Amino acid sequence: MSHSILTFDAVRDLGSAHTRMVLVGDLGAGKSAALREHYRQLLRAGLRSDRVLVWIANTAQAAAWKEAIKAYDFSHGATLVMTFRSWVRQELLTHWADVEASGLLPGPPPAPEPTFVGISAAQQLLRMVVTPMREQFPVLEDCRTPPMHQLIQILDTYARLVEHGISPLEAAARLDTGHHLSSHSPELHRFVGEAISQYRQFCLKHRVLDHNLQLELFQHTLWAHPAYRTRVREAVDVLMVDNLEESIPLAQAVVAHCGEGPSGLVLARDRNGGLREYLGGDVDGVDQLLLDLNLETRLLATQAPFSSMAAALSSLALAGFEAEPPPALAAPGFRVHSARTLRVQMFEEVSHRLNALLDNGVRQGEIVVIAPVVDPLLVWHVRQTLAARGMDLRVLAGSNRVIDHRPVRILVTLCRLARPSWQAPPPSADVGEMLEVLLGIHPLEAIRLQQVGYPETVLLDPEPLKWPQNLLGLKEAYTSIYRWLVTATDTHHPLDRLLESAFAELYAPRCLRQMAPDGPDAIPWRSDDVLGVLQMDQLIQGARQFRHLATRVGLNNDEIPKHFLRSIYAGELAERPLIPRGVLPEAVTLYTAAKYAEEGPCVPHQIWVDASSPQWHKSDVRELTNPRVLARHWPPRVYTEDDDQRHQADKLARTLQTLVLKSTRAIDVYASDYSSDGQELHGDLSEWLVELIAHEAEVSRGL
Amino acid sequence: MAFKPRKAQQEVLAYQGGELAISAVPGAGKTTCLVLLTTKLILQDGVRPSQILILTYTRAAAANIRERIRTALRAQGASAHGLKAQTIHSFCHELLMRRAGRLGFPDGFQIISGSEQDNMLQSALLSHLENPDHLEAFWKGHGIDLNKRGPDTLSQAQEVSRKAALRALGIIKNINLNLDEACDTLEGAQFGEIAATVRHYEEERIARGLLDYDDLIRLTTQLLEQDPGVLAHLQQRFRYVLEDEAQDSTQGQKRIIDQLVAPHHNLVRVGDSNQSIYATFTLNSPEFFRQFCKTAPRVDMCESSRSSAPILSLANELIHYTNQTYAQAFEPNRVIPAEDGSNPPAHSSTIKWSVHAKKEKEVEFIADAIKAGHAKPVEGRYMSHAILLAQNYQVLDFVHALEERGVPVAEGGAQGTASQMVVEMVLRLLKFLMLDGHHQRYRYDLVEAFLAQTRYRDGLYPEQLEQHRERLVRFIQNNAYDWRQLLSVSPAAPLPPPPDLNEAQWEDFRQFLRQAASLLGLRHLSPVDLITAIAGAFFNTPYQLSVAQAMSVSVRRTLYHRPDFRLSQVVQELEENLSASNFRERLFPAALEEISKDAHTQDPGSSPQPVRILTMHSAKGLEFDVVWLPSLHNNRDFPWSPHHARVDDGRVLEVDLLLNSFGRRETLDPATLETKARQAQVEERLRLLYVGITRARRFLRPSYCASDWYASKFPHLVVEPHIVHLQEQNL
Repeated sequence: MSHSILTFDAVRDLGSAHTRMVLVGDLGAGKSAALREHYRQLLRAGLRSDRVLVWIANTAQAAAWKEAIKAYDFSHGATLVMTFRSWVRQELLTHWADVEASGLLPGPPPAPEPTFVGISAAQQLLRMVVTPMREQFPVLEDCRTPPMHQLIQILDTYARLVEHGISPLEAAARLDTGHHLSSHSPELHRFVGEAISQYRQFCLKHRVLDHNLQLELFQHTLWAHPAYRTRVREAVDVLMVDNLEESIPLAQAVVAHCGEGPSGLVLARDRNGGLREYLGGDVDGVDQLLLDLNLETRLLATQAPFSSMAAALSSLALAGFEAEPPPALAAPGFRVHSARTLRVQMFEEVSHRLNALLDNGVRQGEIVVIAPVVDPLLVWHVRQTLAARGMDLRVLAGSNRVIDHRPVRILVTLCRLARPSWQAPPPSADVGEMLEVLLGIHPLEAIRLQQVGYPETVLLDPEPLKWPQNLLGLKEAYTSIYRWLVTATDTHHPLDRLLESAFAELYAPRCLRQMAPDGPDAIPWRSDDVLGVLQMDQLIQGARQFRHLATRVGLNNDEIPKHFLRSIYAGELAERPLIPRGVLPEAVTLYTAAKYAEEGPCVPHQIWVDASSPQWHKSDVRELTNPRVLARHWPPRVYTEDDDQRHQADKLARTLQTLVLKSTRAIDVYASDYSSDGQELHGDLSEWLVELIAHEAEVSRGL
Repeated sequence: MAFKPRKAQQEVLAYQGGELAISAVPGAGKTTCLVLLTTKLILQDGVRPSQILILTYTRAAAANIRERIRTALRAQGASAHGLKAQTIHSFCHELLMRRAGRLGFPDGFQIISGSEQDNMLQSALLSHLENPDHLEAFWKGHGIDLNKRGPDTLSQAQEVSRKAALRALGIIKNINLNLDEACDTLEGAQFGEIAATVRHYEEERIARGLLDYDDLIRLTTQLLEQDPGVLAHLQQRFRYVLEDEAQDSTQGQKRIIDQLVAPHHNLVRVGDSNQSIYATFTLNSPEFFRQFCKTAPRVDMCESSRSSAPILSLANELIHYTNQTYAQAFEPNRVIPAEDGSNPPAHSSTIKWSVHAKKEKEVEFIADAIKAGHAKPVEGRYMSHAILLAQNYQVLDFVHALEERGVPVAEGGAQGTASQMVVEMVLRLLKFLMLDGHHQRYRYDLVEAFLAQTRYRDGLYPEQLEQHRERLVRFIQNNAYDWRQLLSVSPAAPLPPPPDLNEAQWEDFRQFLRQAASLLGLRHLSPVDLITAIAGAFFNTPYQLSVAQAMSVSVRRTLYHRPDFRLSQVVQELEENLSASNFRERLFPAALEEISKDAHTQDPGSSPQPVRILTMHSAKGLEFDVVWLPSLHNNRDFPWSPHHARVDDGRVLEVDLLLNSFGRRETLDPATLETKARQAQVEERLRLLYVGITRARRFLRPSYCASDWYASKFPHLVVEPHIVHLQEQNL
């Protein structure tokens, strides 16, 4: 194994189909760009694009890579640039007959192909499985975690088991070592194990595969077969992997296998990565893999402006309370606003800063706001600030219910009105809102109209109605909605078709007509309109997928819409966390720290909010799961307080380092002394920063 | 000039580890002493700042100590990196927050406020009493004859039970009793409704994923006891624990501290038993500090530089006089003026008593005197004035009197009024935005919201307010039936100005309506966002915005567990929460109060200060140039005779004793119990008076009402002998 430090230009000149090397560097060193350039050169040199397999850490980065490919000035064939999970799914589909033939799937196949589902559908299915189990496990009464979060934690546990090749039977035993605080934990963990087993059986029987089952089946059927493994090696001339440090053990096994052959192999590794360790990433496994492969190592130097600050923060976080007071750093552009403030004052300061940046010509897409967790009041303040400038805020932080979006609610309201047989009439306020939006009338007028037309649970026929004089002008528009309802009630379209019809025949012509994309009078689509359309699309797609799924698992036709409605109100159909690039106009984006560190792009300006919150430290341990004890390297011993603290410190160190390195110009940090419910906040981060900066000029103490 | 520690301070600074009790009189400089001791540990003994934990009683004190230590260390080129100075609740909150996942709590779990807790207890009690058998047992338990009950009997009895349930909860959680066993004991002792209320409250609290303040203590002690790893981690970190205001410690706090210092016993407790003023109505007890003082090496800090000599003499006289009758009320620690002569100078007018014919006269007298003096500098400095009261209910009288005279008033009055304005406006505007049901009702909600704003801004008297309301209601009834006109949605037909409003008033109202109308387009937002939108449109000071924020947090908490709640349900819940509390401000985080406190002590002396009107309890830790102590005739507030003491209902006391003596089989008959409670109340109220007196730096102005008229009107209110004695000392 050899080491050398190369400039980016030198890496670019190394393009060869037989190159076998690992690019190592910190964030911002140019590893991904070097990979991309290497890929371009390979294709330009005539290598077939379907013989070069590229694994990217997440879909956003894969989308960015594909965008870059579009700009190539030479022709090429189909590309294989995707996440490891997408590749697994593709392989399962291609070789499904072999999977069926493996004999691992129970019963006869209900269909020639499997159904792949996402996280929302997985939660819906798990709920169907778990609900009847609840009576067998009275211990759930003592479970503090709300049912919705229980489902998420069970699926998380399952994911870790699959990624680390641990059997569901072992889950409870491993989790028990992670909890010894509560006497009811073992019984809860038995429930988790049982829920996973039953869910797994249920899905396999119906050939419905979520992400976990896809990996599990791939591992135990295709990958277990030597002939298949040989075929993979033969099918790939060059394998390129970005963010190797975030890869799961199975992906590492595939890399190791390909590395044994003559294929070209180019890997990129962030020295301080490992942000997804709690999501199955196996950093230790990467070390071993690279040792085994004995690749040439190329070090790329970091060019980020705050690299000393990143290193200092990282070591402070790692040392915890044993840290020595840090020496002051000169970090122009890194500003800590540490006045003792009420929470609203902090939000106002953030708004002022945003305005100042935008006034100075900074583009919206060059600013990100980062908080440990998303506070709705922060969202509101920033959104107000931007709205005053005709701008929108994009929030990429966890998941929100799609039903909380107005356009989605309007479609659902129309369907609930059109299907009295569901016995789920919409609330009057929702009907008022629907009339207001579809008819484009004043809210007060809409309420008056709703009181006339929807006195109880059915929208009334306009003809026999006695119309007040001041609402007469609305009769015709109201009648058109009523007519649609009558027609929709008479047809027996499934829910997704009904939603589609409501969108195409009522919502789009009335609310989107001014946005016709062609013609001289075209008005550019506003980002919230685009978001609305995306959300409605997600609703319709979700309904369609749920119908297919429900049919597949044998749910009664009449029950499907009720289950779906329950699911969207329970939050299982969550807003898509990531929106493909290029679809939306540029916007200021609000991220949680973890999300930004994992997926956010490098930008000139970061604004950190809530630096005094203790929630920058995040424990991975939950009542029903603990990813750390589910890792394959975890020895059979109790997960202690020290382990937890060490892992929290490690995670925070990696997160902070990544955040800081992703800023190319300035970071402004804000803190409040109080949480949203008035509790004092004494988190360490703001104090570290004040100590690090130390220069009074950089620490703004007043408002 | 170099700082020269006093003798007692030097003794403290000789501390080399282990236990140390510091008993410090008011104004002895114990905060300075804590700061000196901490910096000495860091700079001389090589202790890392992160190895020191300072626990204070209030957030303001914690912030003050932190800042002073930071400044002191920085001056020496050192850092306070990692130092923790916080309240015990903040310490527990942070500890639990970092371990929320493993405890099964959602990230960022929420703490319920006192009034929310009160409201949940009330709901729990009412749901129990829906059963006729339970109701009958309830009457019997309270010893109420159903034939003789009055209109308020039920609500009074409910209040007693609620109070008892609250006390029971506090004891159960602080001394870590098993909930079921404790409730079984309560049931066995004929406290069925209290046991049911406690159980129901706990079920509801757990179902909603909430914690109360007692839970913070309980869960922390449990965590430390059940997870040796957590305890070892903390013990390894905190090598020195310093506890401020140790006379206000609780059983739970003591347990936590004892566990933290178990390996090394490096514990410094600073307190003053003579300032223990919470023991009769909370779980704070000076006993822990008293016991500690008996076993640990002790330093007495008796020198005080805060007050002028006559004021210190009066405080000493109170101790001396009291101890002849109530030997347990005070420790015989005399306060002595500082040897370096730094006390404020004494004048013939340092202490001036005044006696008034009736309360109104007393209020007017004080307001006039403050108006005459507060804006005049004395020896080049403006005097800070504070009116210290025994109870909250008297605050508004003084606020109105001072505001009428144009004297600026700090919180307690002004901020409280601002809170009320915000709450009223938000609620009314939310109701306006509901727009359902009776379709014309929104107009009256708009008028009320407008009046809440106007009353606060213009300081209208009740009569003026009523007059304004009548005009506006008459106007909208006669002229503005059409909402288009009222909200100026249709500019083609603007409303004519009403004849009895002048142009400025009319424009004011129209402006308000325009702002309100702009909210209509936001009705699709969640109630949380709606409140924020209202705040953005109508409020502008941080305090007002924070109150609105506190409301939205309360709503968010509701919606977290009931995401399908409609706006009308949210409004109903908010209204119920508010009406359950007599003091609406209590809904909001105590942080607001403390921050506004701080804001008014930033720059003393250089300009006239707003007058502070606050209770003696909340004045603890503060000091003012001139202190007014009115209404000393009220022998419920300042009793000498135990018969005059205001004590909790016997049912509360019995619950208290039953649970506090849990497992010890200690029994007391109700009469003995009440006697003990009365005596404890008298003693605590005497200490409260001591605290009130010792807040004064330069001038003390005690007063009371006494006249033939007063005696005939309120024969039960007699000026108690200790007040008379103190007054005689100054004659």
